[in-house]
Amino acid sequence: MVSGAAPAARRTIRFAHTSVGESCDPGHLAAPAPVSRAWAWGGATGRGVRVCIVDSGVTAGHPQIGDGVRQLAAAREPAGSDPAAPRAWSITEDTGGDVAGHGTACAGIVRSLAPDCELTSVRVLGGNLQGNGDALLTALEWAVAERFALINVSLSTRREHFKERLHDLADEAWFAGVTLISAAHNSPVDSYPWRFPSVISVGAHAVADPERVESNPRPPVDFFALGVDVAAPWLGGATRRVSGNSFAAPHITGLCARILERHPGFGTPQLRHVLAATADNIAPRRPE
Amino acid sequence: MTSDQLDEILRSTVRLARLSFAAAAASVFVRDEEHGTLVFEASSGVGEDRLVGIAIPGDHGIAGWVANTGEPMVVRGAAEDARFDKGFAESTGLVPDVILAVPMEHRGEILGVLEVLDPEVEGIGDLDAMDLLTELANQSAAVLALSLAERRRPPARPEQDPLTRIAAAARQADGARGEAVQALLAAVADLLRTDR
Repeated sequence: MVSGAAPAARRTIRFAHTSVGESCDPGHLAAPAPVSRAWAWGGATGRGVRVCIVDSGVTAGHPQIGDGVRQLAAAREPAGSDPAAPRAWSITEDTGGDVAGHGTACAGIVRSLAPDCELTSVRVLGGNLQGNGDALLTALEWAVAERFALINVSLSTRREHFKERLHDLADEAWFAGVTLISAAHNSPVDSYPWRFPSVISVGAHAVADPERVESNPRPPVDFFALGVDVAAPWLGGATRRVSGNSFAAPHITGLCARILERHPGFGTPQLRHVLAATADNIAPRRPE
Repeated sequence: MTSDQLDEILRSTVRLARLSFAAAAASVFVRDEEHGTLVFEASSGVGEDRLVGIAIPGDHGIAGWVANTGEPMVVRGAAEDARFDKGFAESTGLVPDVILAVPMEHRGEILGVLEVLDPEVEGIGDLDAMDLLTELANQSAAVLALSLAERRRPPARPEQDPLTRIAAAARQADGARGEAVQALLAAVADLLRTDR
């Protein structure tokens, strides 16, 4: 390099499901003109929209979340008279709170964008639930049956034997007007449920704007939202700054809660289209 | 692969992770499915002598989340937080402000967690830092998978050894059957010329 010359721009090589800052062709949008955010969610706070957080639990009473969070957990039913018989899974009331901090952070991010939404937490970690796809499946089955408008699931499973049941469940949610919003696995691998087209999948961008949404021109990830250095509530009433795809998904969930307050008849296809049409990385339209 | 070889590879992994991010420390935790814990297998930096072999709950905290979901994360701000339970961290001699944690995955199975404490990510960014550490973790995870498979393989049972089985059966034989067995074994010994 010649002395005094500007350093070359750093090349971005990324294997992860995260933003590289590409723009999107407006020709892919089924709208004759730009869609305004004022129409999409202007002034909305998520009031009346039921949101389920499937995660590590939520710390009740955190100042950034409040007291009004229903807390449940996926649990195995007690063993019966035959100890060899498989034990069923069910959803029970939970007093375990958050075992990792992650669920509290996700709930807080949803609340920061949609402060008036109704939050329910279903814990799928802790208490011998570790690594158990059954807990995830049980939680999602319950949440879909309960017809939550939005389900935030910032985790996934790579176990193939859960794929078919999760796929059927995601389809059921789509038809029932329940929207699943799921963090894309960080690595370039297939995991579920984010990988299904019936689920809104989210990766991270690093632009410090919680309302910035990027529509991804390269499937399978649908959108990128803020997932870097996000200020979020944590265990024990604390606050942390967190990074990861799993913190991007609740930004989209919060924005969807706002959209649903203004447009309660929308399901997954409409939400996906409104998010794409209002995305920040749509290239300028060419004159007709 | 011997236990020493695995230790050497994991030690190299944590040193490389620490060097890559000019970090205060780096550690590898391995999942112990039987006990539901995460066990420190290797560590570099502050507290390294005291950590190896220590087990922590497998489903709690940042490492627990990463070990159970396979999702990496960066968490900042523990040092600014007076309410943070620093007990365990202080016992290791380090209270980290920043934790970068990624899974060690091999063929879809999460074997452990690679964690870097107080990494320097200025100029790299969290997304690239997670990507870089994930690839480093994947490289070691392939070796770790091989070693864990060997550890989990049940040891050969003594009764599977044919000579041991014959000796046990011979000891149990009595009466005319016992005499016949002894004669047969003597003939075999002669045949094999065991006196030479």
